[in-house]
Amino acid sequence: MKKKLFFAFGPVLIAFIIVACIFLTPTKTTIKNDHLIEVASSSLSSSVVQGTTFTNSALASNQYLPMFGSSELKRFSAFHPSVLAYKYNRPYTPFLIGDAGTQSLTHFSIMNSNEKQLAHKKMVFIISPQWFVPKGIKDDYFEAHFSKLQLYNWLTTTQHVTTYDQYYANRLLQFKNIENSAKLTTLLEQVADGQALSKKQKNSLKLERQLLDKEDMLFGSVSTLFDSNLDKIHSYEHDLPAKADSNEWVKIADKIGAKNTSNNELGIINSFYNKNLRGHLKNLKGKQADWDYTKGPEFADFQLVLQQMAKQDSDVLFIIPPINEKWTNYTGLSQEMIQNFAKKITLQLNSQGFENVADYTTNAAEPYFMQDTIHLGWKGWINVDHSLQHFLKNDTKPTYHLDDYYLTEEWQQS
Amino acid sequence: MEETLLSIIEEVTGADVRDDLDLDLYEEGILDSFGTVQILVEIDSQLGIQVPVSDFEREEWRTPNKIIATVKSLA
Amino acid sequence: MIDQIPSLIPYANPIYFAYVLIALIPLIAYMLWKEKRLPWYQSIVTLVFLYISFGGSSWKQGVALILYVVWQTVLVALYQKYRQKHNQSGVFYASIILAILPLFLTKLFPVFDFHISFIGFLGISYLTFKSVQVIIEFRDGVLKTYKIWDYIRFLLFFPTISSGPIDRFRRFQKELHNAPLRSDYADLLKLGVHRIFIGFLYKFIIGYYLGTLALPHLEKAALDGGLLSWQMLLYMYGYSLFLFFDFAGYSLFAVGVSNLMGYKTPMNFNKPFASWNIKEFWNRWHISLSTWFRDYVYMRLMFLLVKKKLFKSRVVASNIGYFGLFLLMGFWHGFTWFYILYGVFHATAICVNDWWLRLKKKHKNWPSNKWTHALAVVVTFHVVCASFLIFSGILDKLFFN
Repeated sequence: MKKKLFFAFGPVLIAFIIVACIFLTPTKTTIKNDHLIEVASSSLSSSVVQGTTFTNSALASNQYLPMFGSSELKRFSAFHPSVLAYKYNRPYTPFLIGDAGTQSLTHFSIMNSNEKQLAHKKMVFIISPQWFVPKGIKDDYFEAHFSKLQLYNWLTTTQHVTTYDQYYANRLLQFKNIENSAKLTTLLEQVADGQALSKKQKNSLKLERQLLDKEDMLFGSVSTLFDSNLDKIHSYEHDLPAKADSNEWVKIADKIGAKNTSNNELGIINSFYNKNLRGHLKNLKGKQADWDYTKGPEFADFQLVLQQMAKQDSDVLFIIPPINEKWTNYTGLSQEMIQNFAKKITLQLNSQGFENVADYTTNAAEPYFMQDTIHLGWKGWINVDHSLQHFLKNDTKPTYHLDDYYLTEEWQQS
Repeated sequence: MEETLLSIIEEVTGADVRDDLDLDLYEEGILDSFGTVQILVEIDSQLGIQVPVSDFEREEWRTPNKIIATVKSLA
Repeated sequence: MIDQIPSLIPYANPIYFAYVLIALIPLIAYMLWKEKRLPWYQSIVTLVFLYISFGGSSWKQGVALILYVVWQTVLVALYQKYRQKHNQSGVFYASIILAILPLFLTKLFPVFDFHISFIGFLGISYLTFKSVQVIIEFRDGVLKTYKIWDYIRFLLFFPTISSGPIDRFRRFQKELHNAPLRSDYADLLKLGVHRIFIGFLYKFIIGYYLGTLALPHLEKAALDGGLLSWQMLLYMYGYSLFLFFDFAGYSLFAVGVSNLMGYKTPMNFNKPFASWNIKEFWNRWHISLSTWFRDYVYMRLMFLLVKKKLFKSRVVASNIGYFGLFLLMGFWHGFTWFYILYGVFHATAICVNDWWLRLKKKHKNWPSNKWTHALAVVVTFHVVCASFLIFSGILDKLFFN
C-alpha cells in the first residue's frame, strides 16, 4: 500500500523539488550566448518588449545602440538602420525595442527596468504622431505589451514616491487588465496615494518577481529564435552598394521605391496596399479630416519617458516621422494639425534640455520618404541615418531641467 | 428466440455469425451504429421487446452471445 | 479574505494544479483511510474552485452559471414529475428545446453582434449535454427517480466543467454513492497523477511550442502563400497537431483530477491519428462528444427513420442521418460558415467511407495487409487534417479579409 502511494505521489514531490530549485535559487539571469542576443536585437520579439533578460544582457555591452519605436521598426528594407549597420560594419548594432502599438507607457516600463544598463548612454527614440490621439493608448495595445515583471521591478525599486510615480500609478489604474487584478489595484492605489511599498510588501513581490524572471530567462530565448529577422536583414543588404554613398543611395531608393509602389497612386508599398487598403479605400476618403493629435494623455505619458531618460542621464536622438501627404490628401487628415503636433512636442523637448530632435514632418510630400501611410520608407530611413551619424559624433553632454507642468491636464489639453 | 436473434443479426449485417458466437462485432467492423439501430428495430417488431436507445451500451452488445443474453434479460 | 482568492481559468496555468492538489489532500487522505467519500468537503472544494474560475473579474459568467443551473434544475425536476404520470412527445420536445435554449441564444447572439453578458459562460455547451441527456433518459424510462442534489453535483463536477469530457449521469451517480476500495483507489491515484503529467507534456510543452510559438508564424506564411502552397500544408499539419495536443492535454487534466477525487471520468482521446478510416476516427477523437451525439442524436434519429420506414434504402437513411448529425455538430461549434462546412465535410467523408466499406465487402479478394493498412492511416490522417484546416478559420481570413 505504502509502496503504491509512494509511486503515485513520488513524481509529484520530485517535480515540486525540481521546480523550486530552478525558480527559487537567486542566480543572476543574463544570457551569455552572443548569437542569441544578436537574434534578439532585431527580432522585436515579445520577450524583448515584455521581458528583461534580453535587454539587460544586450544593453550592458556597448555593442548595441537601443532604438525605441513602434511598428516602423518591423518594416525592413534596404535602408533600415539594422541593414545599414550590418552592410557597412558600423561600430554599433541597433537593438530594436518596440512593436505595433507600443507607446510611451510601454517604453517607460521597459526603460525603467533597464535603468542601470541604459545609464549615461546614447539612444534613439522614434515618436509617432498617431500615438497622440485624444484618449491616449488603447486598452488592447496597453494590455498586449503589459509586463508584470517590469511592473514588479518598478514597484520593488521605488524608494520615495515622486509626482511622476503617482502619475504612473494613477494612469495604470485606468486600464482594464489592472482593474481586474485586485492585488495590483491595491498596490497601485497605495502608490497613487504617495506611499511607497513597505518592506514586507516588497519582499513578497520580490519572490514572485524572481519566478517571472526565471520564466523570462527560460522561455524567452526559445520564442525569440522563432522571431528571428536576420535572414530578412541580410537579404536586403544585396540592394546596397559596396561603399556608403548618399547620392548613390538616393538613386537606389528612387528605383526601389518606384518599383514597389506601382499598384496605386498614393505612394504606398504594393503589399500594404493589397493587404490593408484595396477594397475599402473608398470608405476612407475624407474620413480623417477631424482627427487631432495635439491633445490628450499621451503628452503626459511621454513626459514620464522624458523623466526616466533624465534620471538615467541618457543622450537621446528623437525622430518625428511625417505622415504620407498623398495619403493625407486622400483621407483629409490635416498636415497643419501634424505641424502643430510637432511644434508642441518639440517645445516639450527643447524647453527641458532635449535638443536632438530630427523632425521630418515637413518631408511629408517627398516621394518614397514613407513606405506606406505612416511608416518610414526608403528615403525616410536615409534621412534618419544622416541624423544618426551626426548625433553619434556629437559628444556634448546634455543637461536636463524637468518641468512637472508637462504632466498636468492643462498641458495635455493645451 | 436465439434462432430469431441470430437470423436478425445475419439479415442486418449480411455476415455469417453462427460459427463464432463470441465474435466481437464492432471490432471486426461487422456492426456499426446504424446496424445496431436496425437490429433494435427488428427486435422490437419481431419479438416485441423494446430496448430504449438511451439504455444501449456497446459493451452489452459486442458479441452474438452477449446480444442473446441482454435481450433475454429484457424479455 | 475573499480578495485573496485568485482568478484562474481551469488548467490554464500550472499554479492551478498546485491549488487543486493542496485542496484535495484532506479528501484523498480521508478516502484512503476510511474508504468513504467526504461529500460536504467535496462540495466546499467545488464551490471554491467554481469561485476561482467564475468569480472575480469574470463574475458575470458566475452569475450566468448560477442562473443556468437554477433553470436546468427546475426544468429537469418538472419534467421528471410530469414523466411519472404522462408521456407525451410534445412535452418531451418542449423540455428539450427549453434545455437547449440558453446555449442556442449564446451561439446566436454573436451572429447579430448582440451581447448579453448574463447568458454565456465557459462550459455552457458541456453542461447542456449533461442536462439534455438526463431529460432523454427520463423520457425513455431508463431513469425513473433521481436526487436533485445528485443532479446538481453531476452538472457542477468541477474537474470537467469547462470543456468535458461529458460524463453519463447513471455512471457518475453510481460512483457518487460508492467510494473505491483502498487498493483500487491507490491505483487510481497513480493513474491520475500519470495522466496529469502526460497532460503537462501535451498542453504546456508540445501545445505551447506549436500553438504559441510556431502557429502564428505558420499562419502568417500560409496567408502569404495562399490556399495551394506548401506553407498552407505546413500550417495544416501544425494546426491539427496543436488541436490534438492542446485538447487531449486538457482532457487528461480533467480525467486525471477526477481520478484523484476517486471518479473514473471517461477518456476523451484514444490515438486518433492512428485511425484507419473516418468512422474509426470518430471512435477515437473527442470520444465523449461523438458518443453523446451517436447515442442521443444519431441512433434515436435512425431508430425513428427505420421504424417508420421513411426511406426505402438503408443507405439513404443512414447517409441522411450522418448529414443531420454532423450539421448539428457544426452548428454547435458556432454559427459560422467554416464550422458548418466542417460538418458537411465530415458527413461527406463518412458517407464515402461507408460506400468504400460496402465496395470492399463485395470484393473479398482485394489486398489487405499491413501496407494497405498504413496507406489507410495516412489517407485518413490527411482527410482529418484537411477538415481541421477548414475548422481553423484560416480560410475565412484568406478569402474575406
